[in-house]
Amino acid sequence: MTRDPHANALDDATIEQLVRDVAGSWTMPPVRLDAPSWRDRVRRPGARRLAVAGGWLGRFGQAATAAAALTVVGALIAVVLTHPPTEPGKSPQPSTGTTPGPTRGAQATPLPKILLAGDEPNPAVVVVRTERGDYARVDLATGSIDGPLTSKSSSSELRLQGGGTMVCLCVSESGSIGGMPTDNSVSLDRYDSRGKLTSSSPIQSFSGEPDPRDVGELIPDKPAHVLTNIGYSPDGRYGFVGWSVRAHPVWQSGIVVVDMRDGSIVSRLALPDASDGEGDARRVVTAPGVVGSIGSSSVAIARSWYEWTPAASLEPSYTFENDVFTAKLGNGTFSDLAPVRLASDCGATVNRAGALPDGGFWLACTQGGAELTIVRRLAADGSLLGDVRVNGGVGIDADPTALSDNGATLYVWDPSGATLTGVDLANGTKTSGKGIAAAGEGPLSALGHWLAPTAAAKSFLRGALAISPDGSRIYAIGVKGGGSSHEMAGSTGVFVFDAASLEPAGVWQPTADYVSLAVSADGRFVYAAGLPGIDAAGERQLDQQASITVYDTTDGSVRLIAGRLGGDMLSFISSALN
Amino acid sequence: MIESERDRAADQAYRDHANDVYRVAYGILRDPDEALDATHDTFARAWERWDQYDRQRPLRGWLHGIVVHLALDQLRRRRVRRLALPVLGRATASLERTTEPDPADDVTRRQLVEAALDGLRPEVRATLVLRHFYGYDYAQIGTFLGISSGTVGSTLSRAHAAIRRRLEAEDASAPGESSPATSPTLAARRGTSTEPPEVLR
Repeated sequence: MTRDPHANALDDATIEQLVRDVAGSWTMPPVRLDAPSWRDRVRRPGARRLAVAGGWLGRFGQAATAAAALTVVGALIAVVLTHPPTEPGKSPQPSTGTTPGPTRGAQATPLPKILLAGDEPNPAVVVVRTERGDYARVDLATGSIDGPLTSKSSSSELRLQGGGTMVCLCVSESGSIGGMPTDNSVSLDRYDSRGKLTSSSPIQSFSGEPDPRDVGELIPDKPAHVLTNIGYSPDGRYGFVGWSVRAHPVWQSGIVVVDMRDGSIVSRLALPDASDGEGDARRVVTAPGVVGSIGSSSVAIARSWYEWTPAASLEPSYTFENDVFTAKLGNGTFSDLAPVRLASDCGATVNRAGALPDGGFWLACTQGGAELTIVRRLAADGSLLGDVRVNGGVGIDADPTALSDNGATLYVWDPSGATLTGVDLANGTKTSGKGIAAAGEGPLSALGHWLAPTAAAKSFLRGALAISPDGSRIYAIGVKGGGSSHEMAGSTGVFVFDAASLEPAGVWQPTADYVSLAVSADGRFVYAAGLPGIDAAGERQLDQQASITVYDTTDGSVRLIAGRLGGDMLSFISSALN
Repeated sequence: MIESERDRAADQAYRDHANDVYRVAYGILRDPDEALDATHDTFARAWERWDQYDRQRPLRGWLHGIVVHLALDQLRRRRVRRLALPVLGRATASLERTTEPDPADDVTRRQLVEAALDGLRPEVRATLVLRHFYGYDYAQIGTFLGISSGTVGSTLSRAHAAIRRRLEAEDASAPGESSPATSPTLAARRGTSTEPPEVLR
């Protein structure tokens, strides 16, 4: 490899040659004779035929015929809810460690492309967010998934409309400094029910500049220069485009309100500038967002930020905080912006806000994902009424909260402890219910390892809680592991709670490592999305694709499995499926 | 194709292309053991899907399509584990300090390019290798990675800029080439493995 030391700049041809030189040195190391080769990884025809017939049939042994096994499976698939091991009228006792662990035996085969036990669930077509941040339509009738819908940035937010049409405030990124984009352009894109783009209208572009203090400096954190945060009013009438851009020595930020009927800009709100870090500290201020209605015509706006120091350290110290504001919002126009002084130490992320009966309001903040939730109650004069703290599992990246339909109770879920806490927002009291453990040797586990809890690492949930439309039941995804462990160990299934008493009503065993949950509009079905790349025993299984399992809420039986939905993790865009 | 023929063809494919498959896997995974793992998995999957191979097209391209998918999937699993950190969304890089580099200029530059590649996203590394080492066109690379041709072009452009900045920054901080922008921190890191934390998003 040679170069001209006097060259002023590296042209593309030089860089291409450098890449070729480097890649040319990547040669395959010698393979140990006793190491498994590709031949050892081939699934032979017998196994593959069983896989085609349903995969999990293999667990019954190759001597069983597919027809006979299907009959048995058909009978077993109507699994019943596991009832709590408590006497009527008594509070459930905490689990005594009977949560099923990794099961023994041979490696599982992938989930089937489609398994339907009864009529198709409704809805049979769902829109999901993919791991790459785009969206896709899943047809559960055929077990198929369409290609990406928007091909835009992961900051984009898609919203379903009547008749299956979709609207998106989509974000396109461009420019690059330090590996991060410098420009974000927001457009209003409309899609028909088949996912075809029908129109696209530009809304606004935002540009941020790199930190001039760090020119030529390697900043391991790779700070952003421009950020956007898209949200919608509950009725879908308005879109909120939160934005923040670095303009050293500050971050500028604000919210643009878009009329979703015609794409016109209704109003613009500018938030106070925030420092981009003093001295050797660097700060990234995220784009603000509307986090909840806190009374008639008033909303809470949250803008989180994080700071690290020293700037170029490989192991810097981080600080996470947020700024919260209140503002009046009428006809799409903000007014009377005011900072909330007592919100800064609430937590790293403000997930929700709502009104209190006496004119005050509350904030739900999380720290470390599901690790700690703080419900901060503030009086109408801004004074602190008190905090309610709810601990959860360590190392689980999730919003563990859900709000009851009447706004009176905030539910907080601990995915690893299988504990659901209800916070009465009016008076700040809390009650908890402990989920019961799934039966380790129930009829589902007899089917095979893909129905057993997985043992693979998982650390985030995208939709951990779902409330039935009538508000009577709460469904939650359980995660095995937790405590001080940073390595999650798979799903413990879907836990079912009575919303009024928080008593456990059962748990449905997982067919995959679940990451997202949603309930149908009529409450009849619960949908759970499973991770790809992991088999039921928690072993890496490259042939296992993303999946969606649909449970019948009347008895907890598996109504449908769509097990070949591609290699991207999927999550539901809302906990309520229309 | 009868099985013995398939076996022979797959064996020949392995002999001819194992290193090509490994190279792309390593470009994505940056770990020799994991790249070897992905290489074997690629040929296993290829054997199983041999009937799907279009013999009118180059075998190497077909294998590269498989290994890109497998390696990115494998990497995704790794990222899932890395996300399980107390401070979510922030990687706490565990950086290995290596010995001082060979003073020879090309060796140093090679190390710098390796370090620059480490700082890029896996998909970007794959794009660079597939384009510059194997010469695939943008459409073919887009097919491998599930992105548009336009995105491939912009990805390459941004990757070049990132590598260029990295190399020029190091040049500026080299002894005897003092620059006002040179920082003690950067200078102190010369000769070390400066792998930035993987961006988890």
